[in-house]
Amino acid sequence: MWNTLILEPAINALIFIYDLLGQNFGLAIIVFTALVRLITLPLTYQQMRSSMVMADIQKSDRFKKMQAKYKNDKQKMSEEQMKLFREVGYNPFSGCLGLIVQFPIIIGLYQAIIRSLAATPAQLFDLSKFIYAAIPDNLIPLNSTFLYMNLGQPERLELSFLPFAIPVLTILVVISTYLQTKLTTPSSGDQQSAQMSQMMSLYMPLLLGYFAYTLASGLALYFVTSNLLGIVQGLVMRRVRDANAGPEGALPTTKKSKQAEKLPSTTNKR
Amino acid sequence: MKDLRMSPTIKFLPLMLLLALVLTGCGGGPIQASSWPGVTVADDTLYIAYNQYVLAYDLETEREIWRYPAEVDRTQTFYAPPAISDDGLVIIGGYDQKVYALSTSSNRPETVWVFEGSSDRIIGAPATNAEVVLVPSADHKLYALGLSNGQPIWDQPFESRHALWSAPLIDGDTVYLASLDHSLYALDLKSGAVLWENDLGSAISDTPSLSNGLLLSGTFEGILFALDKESGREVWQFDSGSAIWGNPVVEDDVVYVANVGKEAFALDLDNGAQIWQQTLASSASTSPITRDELVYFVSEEGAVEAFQKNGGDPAWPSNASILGRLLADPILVNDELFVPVMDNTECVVFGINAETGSARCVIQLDES
Repeated sequence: MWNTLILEPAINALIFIYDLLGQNFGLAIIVFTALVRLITLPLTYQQMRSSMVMADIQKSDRFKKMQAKYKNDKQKMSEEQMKLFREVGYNPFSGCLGLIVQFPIIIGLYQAIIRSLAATPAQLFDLSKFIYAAIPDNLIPLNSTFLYMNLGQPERLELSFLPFAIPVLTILVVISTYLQTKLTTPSSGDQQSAQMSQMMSLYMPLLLGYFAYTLASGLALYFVTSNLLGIVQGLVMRRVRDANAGPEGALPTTKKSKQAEKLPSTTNKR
Repeated sequence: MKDLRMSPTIKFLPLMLLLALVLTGCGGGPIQASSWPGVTVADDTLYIAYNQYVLAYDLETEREIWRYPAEVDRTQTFYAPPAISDDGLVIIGGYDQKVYALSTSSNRPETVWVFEGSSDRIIGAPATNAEVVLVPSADHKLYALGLSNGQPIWDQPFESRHALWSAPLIDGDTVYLASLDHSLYALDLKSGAVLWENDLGSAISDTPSLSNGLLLSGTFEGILFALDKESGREVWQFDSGSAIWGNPVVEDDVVYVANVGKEAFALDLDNGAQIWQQTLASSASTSPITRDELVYFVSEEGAVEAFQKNGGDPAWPSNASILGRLLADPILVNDELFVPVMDNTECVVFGINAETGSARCVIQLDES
C-alpha cells in the first residue's frame, strides 16, 4: 500500500525528472523537492496560518487578561479559551491536518531519494523492482555525481590550502533550518510556547545538521532546498500577515469571524 | 478538562521525534545489513564477508576458525567476497574504503598491509594472481596493487565512468572488467591500458564468464552478450526480456543464465539459440551452478531449484525453501550447495544437499 501509493510514484517521478534534466540527480532532487512543496502548498499555508492566528490570540490583551484571571482554575481557563476560539473562528486542530498529510509525503520523499541513490547491490536490486516499465532500464544506476559531490556519500569540500575538509552542505542545512524554524514559528505571547519555540529553533538545526553530516549528501541537498523554499514561503506569509494585522493587542480576524460580524444577531431580534 | 492550548511547537514535536526515529533507523545494537553476504571457498575453508565481520569457517570440522576484526568496529562493514591468494593471503575490501591483506597462518589473522587509496567503498570482490591484487572500487577506479606489499603497480588506476561493483577477471596478461557505466573493458594487466571497450547499452553488475574465447555478460536491459575476447566485438546476443544480474555459467557448450523476470535459460554457446526455458519461483540475481546432470538456480524468495541440463525438466519433487532473501551466488563444494542468505534472523549460510534438495543451516547468525 505504502509502496504502491507513495514510494513507487515518488521514485519514478524522481527518475523521470532525472532523465528530463540530462541525467543530473542533484538537479532532479531540487526540482522534485520544489514540486512536492508546490503540491503541498495549500496544506503548508493552512498550517502556517493556523500557527500565526494562534500566536496572535496568545498576544491579545483579552487572552492575557483571561490567563491572569483564571490562572488557578485550569478547567475554567480551558472553557474560556474554547469560547474565545469560537468567537474568533479559530479551530485549534486546523493546523494538524496539514501536518498529518505532509508527514507521509516527507517520509516518502526521503525514502525515494535514498532508494533511488541505491548505494549497495541489494538496494539497487530492490530499486529495479520499483521502476515502471515506461522508465528505460539503462537509466539505473543513477549518476550520483553533482558538482563536486557524490550524492550517495556524506559531502565534504576539500581545498588544497586547508588541512581539513569542510562540510558545506551540513553548514547550509544548519543555517537554513534555523532561519526556517525562526520564520515559520511565530513569536508567541505564551511563555511556555515561547520556550518550546526557542528549543525547537536550536534542536532542529542540530538534528538535521547531524543527518546531513552523516548520511548521503543527496538528503542534505533535499534539506537545503526544502528549507530555502520554506524560508521564502515564511517571508511571504509574514508579509501577508503584517499587511492584514490589526492594532496591537487586538484579537486576530479570520474568515469565520468576519462572516459572523456580517450576520445579524438573532438574540437582538428577540 | 484538558488545557486546549496547542502551540504549533507542541503539535510538531511528536512528529519531529518520529521523523528522527524513522530517518536514523533507531540506532543502537548491531548495524542492519545493507547488502548480501560475499562468500568464497578455498581449501575446505569458507570465507564469508557479512556486515561487521569477515569470518573463516572450516567446512570439514564445521567450526569457526577466525573472524576479522576480533572486536566489532561500527565503522567497518564488509560485503565483498574475499579473494584468497595461492599462498593463503586473504584480501578483503571494506565499506570503510580500505583493502586489508590478512595472513592466516595461525588461527588469528594478522594484517600484512592495508591499502587506503580508494575514495569510496569496496563492493566487488578483489581478484588476484601470484603477483597482483586488482581491487574494483565504487569510486569508479580499478586499483592494481602488489600482492606482497599493497603498493600501487600502475602509474594511475584505471577509471571508468561509473562505480565498479564486480570482480575483475584475470586471463593471462589481460583483465576483463564489467562496469555500471554500461561498458565491458579489456585492460593490459601490466599497465592498466585499455585494450578495447564495448558499450553494451546498460549497466553490467557481475563479472563476465569466459569460455571458448567468448566473454559472456548480461545487462540490466536483459540482454546476454557474447563478445570475442580478443577484439571485444559482438558475436551474438540473446534478449532474455528482463534484467540479468548474475553472470552465466557455461558447461559442454551450453550457457545457463537466469534473470530478474523469474526465468532460467539454456542457450547454445555457438550462436545464443535458446535450448530450453524454465520459470523460477522468484527473481534471480545469482549465477547458476552445474553438477553432473543438473543445473541449480537460486532465486530471491528462498527457492533453490534443480533442473535437468538435458531438457530442463525439474529434478526435485519439490524445491528447497529457505527463509530469507537469496541474492548472493551459491557455491558448490562436493555434494553440497552453500547458499548465503540475507534477512534471515538465525542463519547466514545454508547447505543444500545437491542430490535431494534438503536444507540445513551451516553457519548461524550468532556465529557470524
